[in-house]
Amino acid sequence: MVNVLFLGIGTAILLFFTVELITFILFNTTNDYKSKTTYFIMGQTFGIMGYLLLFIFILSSSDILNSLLKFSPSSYPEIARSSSILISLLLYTVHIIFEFKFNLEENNQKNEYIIYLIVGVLGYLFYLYGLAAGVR
Amino acid sequence: MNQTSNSLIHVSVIMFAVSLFLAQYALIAEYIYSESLSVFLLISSIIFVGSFITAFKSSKLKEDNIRKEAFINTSFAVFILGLVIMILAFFLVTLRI
Repeated sequence: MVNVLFLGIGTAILLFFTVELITFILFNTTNDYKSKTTYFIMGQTFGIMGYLLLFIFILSSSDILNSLLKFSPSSYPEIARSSSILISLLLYTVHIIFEFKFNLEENNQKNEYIIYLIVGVLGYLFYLYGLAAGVR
Repeated sequence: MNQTSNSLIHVSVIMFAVSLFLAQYALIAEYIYSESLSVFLLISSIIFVGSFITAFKSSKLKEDNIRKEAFINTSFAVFILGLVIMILAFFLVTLRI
């Protein structure tokens, strides 16, 4: 049960976040206004879906929260996985809040867009590290 | 364009409820592959939520412009993706391909 959930939902989250990163690249390399807007909105939608699945991922594989909360010493890979996935959840929360708060695809909000991009890439890296540390 | 976004909202909410119900039903049914079937259906229900959020954002925009059109196109594309994953889940899991 846990293995199927872990593999299926973890792979789906990775797919969604990878699509979001690819749309960042497409958004920054095209000049056409219409396709720029479409790429940005596509990236936003996939980011929200990945964020929602991340919650289900943390709730479903219960050892992510257990290994941080229990008092007996746990092994290094457990702590690395759970803490890095929680850090990536925190970073993606900032990412999603920026999405809803600012109109990021306009040209006059360049600084907010850079912060949004850096936080998203950091969250992706931490999530990738969490998945790699969880391989048993 | 307003009618399109409203109908997308309705359709995505209905499909979210259907796929979540099927995921719950697959979990309680006595079937060997019920776990993987329910995981696929759960993922497709989250995709329908994404389609709903995008359609909701498009319905918030008052005037018709490129942004509203892009929201509607994205919502429709994501909805089709959810349908494809839902149908594929049944074919892949029940026929054991």
